[in-house]
Amino acid sequence: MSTSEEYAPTLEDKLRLGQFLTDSRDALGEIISRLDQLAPSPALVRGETPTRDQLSLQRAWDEFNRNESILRAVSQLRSTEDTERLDQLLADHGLSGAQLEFKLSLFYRHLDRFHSAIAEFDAAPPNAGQPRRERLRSLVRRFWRRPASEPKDEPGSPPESVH
Amino acid sequence: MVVILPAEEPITKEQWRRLKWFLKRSRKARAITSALLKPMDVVLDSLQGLPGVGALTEIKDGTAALLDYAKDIDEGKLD
Repeated sequence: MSTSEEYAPTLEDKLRLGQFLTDSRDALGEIISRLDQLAPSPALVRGETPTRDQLSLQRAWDEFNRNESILRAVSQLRSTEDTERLDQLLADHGLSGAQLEFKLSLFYRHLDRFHSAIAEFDAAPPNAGQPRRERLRSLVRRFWRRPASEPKDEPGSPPESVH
Repeated sequence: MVVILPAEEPITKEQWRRLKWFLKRSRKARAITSALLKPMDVVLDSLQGLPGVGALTEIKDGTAALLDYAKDIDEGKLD
């Protein structure tokens, strides 16, 4: 049985798959390190974080990373020797050419969205120091407390800037 | 989301505002993360013959299960 010429994966396809594996590993690592934000429990509100399941997953993840077996998968994809079986596997699963392009583009689009969503956690809550309603009240008070002698929209006077 | 707060520690208005901000972003980020795990699964599933990919897939499935559990709790489907 030989791989069809049309669907045979190129070396570039295999390098992209290797990159996908390392990116997937990194994304999973980030998800696991942020489980207290992504999967908060009522216990989180009481300050009892993380949960037993989250700790268990973290330990499994640490053990997985110590093995570094994913690096062997990446080097197998980069290898140029004895590739017939691997090429057949990739071709059979549509992991070459336009099919691979489609599958990876979906993954990377979602990965970008994930990073944007995560970045929102690292930003401070909006109006962190002062609630919006209080800021508005303060602005209105300052406006009405201006000295009576201060000119109000007289022709020829420069426009007043509100801070 | 069902949030159980200890009665002896009343929450201030500011704490409540921050909690709502946090939970809103948490829901959004969880939905996006679950959406990311699906296309990841499609490719990982096809690469099962390679070393380490099976273990990575198992960890991904476990993570997805935890996210689903949190979602169910959030939607009041579980106690």
